Amino acid sequence: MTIRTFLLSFLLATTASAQTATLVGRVIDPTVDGPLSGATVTVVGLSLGAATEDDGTYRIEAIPAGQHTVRFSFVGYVPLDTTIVLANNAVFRLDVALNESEIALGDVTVQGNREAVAIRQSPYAVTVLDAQQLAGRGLTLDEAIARVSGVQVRRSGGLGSASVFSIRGLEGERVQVYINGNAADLSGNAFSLDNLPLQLIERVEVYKGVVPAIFGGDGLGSAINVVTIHPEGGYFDAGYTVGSFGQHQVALVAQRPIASDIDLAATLNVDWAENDYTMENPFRPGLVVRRDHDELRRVLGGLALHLHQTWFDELAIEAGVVFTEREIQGIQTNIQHARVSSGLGVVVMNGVREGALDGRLDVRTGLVGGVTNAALLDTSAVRYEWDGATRPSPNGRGEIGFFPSDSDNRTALVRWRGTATYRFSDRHALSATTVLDRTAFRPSNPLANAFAGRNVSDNPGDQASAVVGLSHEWKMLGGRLTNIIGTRGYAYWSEGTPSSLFNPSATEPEQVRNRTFTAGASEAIRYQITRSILGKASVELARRLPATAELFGDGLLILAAPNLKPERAVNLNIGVQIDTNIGSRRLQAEVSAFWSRLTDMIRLGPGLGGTAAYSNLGAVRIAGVEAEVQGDVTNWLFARAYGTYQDARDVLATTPGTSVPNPTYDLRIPNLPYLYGGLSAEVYRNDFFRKGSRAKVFYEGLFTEEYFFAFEVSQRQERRIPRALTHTVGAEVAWLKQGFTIAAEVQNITDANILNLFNQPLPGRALRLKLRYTLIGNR
Amino acid sequence: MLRLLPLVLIALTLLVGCDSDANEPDPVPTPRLIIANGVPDQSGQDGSTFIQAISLQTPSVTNANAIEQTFFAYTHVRGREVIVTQNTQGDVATRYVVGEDGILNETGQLTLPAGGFSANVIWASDTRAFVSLVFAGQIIEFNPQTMTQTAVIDLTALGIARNPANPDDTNPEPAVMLLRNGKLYVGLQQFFAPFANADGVDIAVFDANTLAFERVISTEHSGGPGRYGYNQTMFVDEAGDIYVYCTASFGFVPGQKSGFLRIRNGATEFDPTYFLDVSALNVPVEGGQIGTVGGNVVYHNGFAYGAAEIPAGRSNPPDYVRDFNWQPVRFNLSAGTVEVLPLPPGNGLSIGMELLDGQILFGMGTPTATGLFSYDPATQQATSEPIVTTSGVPQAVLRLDN
Repeated sequence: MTIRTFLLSFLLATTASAQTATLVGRVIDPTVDGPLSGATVTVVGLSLGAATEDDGTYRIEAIPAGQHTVRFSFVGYVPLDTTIVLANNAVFRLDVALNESEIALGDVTVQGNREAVAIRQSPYAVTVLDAQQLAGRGLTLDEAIARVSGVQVRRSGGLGSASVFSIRGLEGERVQVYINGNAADLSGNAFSLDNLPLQLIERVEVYKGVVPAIFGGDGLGSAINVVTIHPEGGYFDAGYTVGSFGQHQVALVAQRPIASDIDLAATLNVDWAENDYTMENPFRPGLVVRRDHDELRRVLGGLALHLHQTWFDELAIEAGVVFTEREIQGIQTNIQHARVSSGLGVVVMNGVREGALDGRLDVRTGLVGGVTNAALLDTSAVRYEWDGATRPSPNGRGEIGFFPSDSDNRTALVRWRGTATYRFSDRHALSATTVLDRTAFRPSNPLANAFAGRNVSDNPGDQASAVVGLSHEWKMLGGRLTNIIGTRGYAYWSEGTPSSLFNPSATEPEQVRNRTFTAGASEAIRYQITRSILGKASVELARRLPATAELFGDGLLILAAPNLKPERAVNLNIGVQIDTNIGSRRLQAEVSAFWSRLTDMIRLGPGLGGTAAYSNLGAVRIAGVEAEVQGDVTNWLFARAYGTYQDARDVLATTPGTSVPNPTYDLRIPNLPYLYGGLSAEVYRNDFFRKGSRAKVFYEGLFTEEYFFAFEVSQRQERRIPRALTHTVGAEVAWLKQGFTIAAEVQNITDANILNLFNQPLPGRALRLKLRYTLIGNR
Repeated sequence: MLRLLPLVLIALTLLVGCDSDANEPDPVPTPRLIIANGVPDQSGQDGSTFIQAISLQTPSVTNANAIEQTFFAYTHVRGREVIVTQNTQGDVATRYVVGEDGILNETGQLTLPAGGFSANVIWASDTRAFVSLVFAGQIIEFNPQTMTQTAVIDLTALGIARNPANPDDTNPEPAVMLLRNGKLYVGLQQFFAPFANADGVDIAVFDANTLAFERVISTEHSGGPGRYGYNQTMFVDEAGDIYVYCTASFGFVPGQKSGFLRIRNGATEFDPTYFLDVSALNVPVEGGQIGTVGGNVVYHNGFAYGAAEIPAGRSNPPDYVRDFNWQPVRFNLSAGTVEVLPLPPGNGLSIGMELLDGQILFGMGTPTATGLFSYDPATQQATSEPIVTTSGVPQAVLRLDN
């Protein structure tokens, strides 16, 4: 305490003793009729204030008698100012209710949503993206997820193109994706996250380092869980987005009660895009071309029944279909005919029962059944040069690969997940999760077989798995310390018949089987250092089971490798999280350090004559730090910044199977961003042009430092993914109590040449405009 | 404090935006060889090839001086000229000249047909060279001094493709090339599936000056004449006879036999009396029988040197890093016999080899070392340790001449 502060305090205290009053009261959240702990109560103009206790109560003493404005605020809630008159020596009681904020509070991780806040404050290293805060903008879901700290979404092109999620250096199969807790891996190429409109998404949970045992899947410690909205009562939401390069998206979400305890919901999402942007062709120096074979047509439709009066508190029965048609854009050659199409049908039943057995037992269950088909049609007799010239396809027909294709690859899946959480007391809870699944893969490509003169594609596969997770939550020190310890066991069986065409060890198609039993464990702890500061630490031993494609190969050049072991990772995370108000301004900050060691990494080994097989060849260590800070700079300016530094290194000291020093030992893992982050700012104003309206102007900068495509072994390396710095500016205006929203934005305003996958140029400057109408009925 | 946040963040952004300059390569005294090795990334599916000139005076070299090219790029050398083709990974042929300081300096690029699978390069003179494009079914004549295209031979129009399953396939997949007596001999891969050869061997012959197609020399023995990317696999002996080593799909297609075929000097057909079937030979190592000599061969004084794969030492699936079942051998082309060289077996990446100063150099990866091992045909002695240790297995080893 400085002398000046001391003197001021002394003076204030002196004044108070002369003529003061006391203010007491309670702050609640009316939507749950419960106390709001940690809310800030300040007397405007005075250095007096308090934070509410766990029961929502507060007390401020020594307030000078007279008229004052008292401000109540809390992260994610609408601040409330109240004028009071305090008499000398009086104890004035003021109870208030704060409503969850409906204005944009920043795009990411500031949530008014209670469940989201609870997840964020859990012992796990997790970031929660409030998708509804972004739903007014013309973003796809994966573009929104790319704004989460520690996450990169590496895309190959425009809307509908392949994308890879990268979380703290883990990519592809190593990152599990869930939708409402159910693994979203049922469909191969038939489904990607950007199929889902943002309007349908409530939040996205991004777990970094430890995946809670209740998810019941494998993976190396990072996961994305997409949670869809579940409004009650009548609801209607319609959006239309139009963007550069012929992009259009229509999203409709509607729900209405059809009985006192049943809601019927429907969604329809239609995307179409030309994706016809110009690009510098990385294969032909100096050539700039306009993409002309990258069209996307996609329809997603869904129906859901939400039943509220069964044994479950809520039982949802949902059915959805997705149909996609997408042309294939060539980069090296100018593909003109090849296209993929896919269909997906899925039925999901989710039930939630909370508080059974005298409030001690929560039960969640989910049953998923789905079928997909994916088809590649590639029958052109010629291949096209970029100057328009043609030449015969290498093997007679087909623009891609070696054989023509008219495939119909079908997958069927049934998966059940059950989770029970039993609370022995306020301090102890035990959760058990079981996930059982069975998948059958039935590919068919008679055209390819005819051109090969033998079976090169019709290699069926089957797999089944059982995952059991157990976790124990222990709250100590009056809830300030929470510990969750968990374990997961995996039993996995798969069987297939890969083609033996290029397997020198067999002359007949061979049946390949793999059985794997393995286990993982996790420990996560959270300590509430002060009311505003949380400390977190976690460790996980994670396993990723070999994927079917890794075990069975592709029936052509990738040979079967049935003896692959699961990948193994040990992940550590430690971090500090701050949620506070400074006066009426909100501030959230989080700093984390992480460390992972991956062993038995599955990678494609070198081969002969174009053949290869997956092998447990790699070991990588990742260490890094991640920081994020966001808050109100002024009453009208919100800012957010985040950055991640991840140093991933090859830690195999010797070449596998030898005593020879590994030439890439201790070198940074290539083709992986190591420094990236973002900066955003929003200026917002309520009642902008009429009562109930709001306006927001925003800026976003995304930065990724240049990185090498290959291990950096030479001083003369030139193959790099260049530094990317993009700027996006936009504005969003809403009125009629946020019912109508218009948003426009210019992405990549400097038209920078951006890649985040090597040789896959991304769109340049793009304009997006979104119109949205939302009508919320009785809840 | 919060007001300062944007300024702090902008400053941080600028801070990380500083460029760093690339380092200059170190001179290489008395460069004698070009070596290239592929360094895969962590997925194993991609990476880069690093190519550099080395001296035999330096016992250990890293890749620090190397230029970077696409994964599986092929390297071709004439004198001190180096031309790199990018296989299926790119469409640019790049020419480098090895300077007095042993540094590769880029002097030009030639853009080739898209997705054409540029493989082999052969020089006819200082100003004429040919590059084969396997998937495009073409051979492009170009001036290496200017790296400009001068003519195209389109083999897809010659009706010489053979594909037992698919008559629509008009591409015979040209790859390995040899110039002799004014003729350009082109080994045709005749793929019916990715990197799998149809039964039988075809060599197309063109007039090297007029580029006129003359004939196809064919036999039903074996398959896949020569290793794409490695012209040493088709060579001429002291008698002027042409030999070609046929990979026979590297042993992946049951029933095909790999081995050497011969075209007698002046003949227009394969020698019908000659086929050295290497898969019928046994070597005195565990497992005995040879699977393939899939990588590369080097000819010297009646012998073809190579690394024979012994299937008995092969994992399932084959592990080209940890299976040390590639035994250096030499084939007596006239006697039809094989001898094991006194060198350790290497892994499947051990395909670079070259004749230098009468010594046969093998680029090898063994359980204890990677680098260049040397065999002296005169004394029939070999080095037990690499004469130059390399960082990674050199998959191309090519001699520089002045």
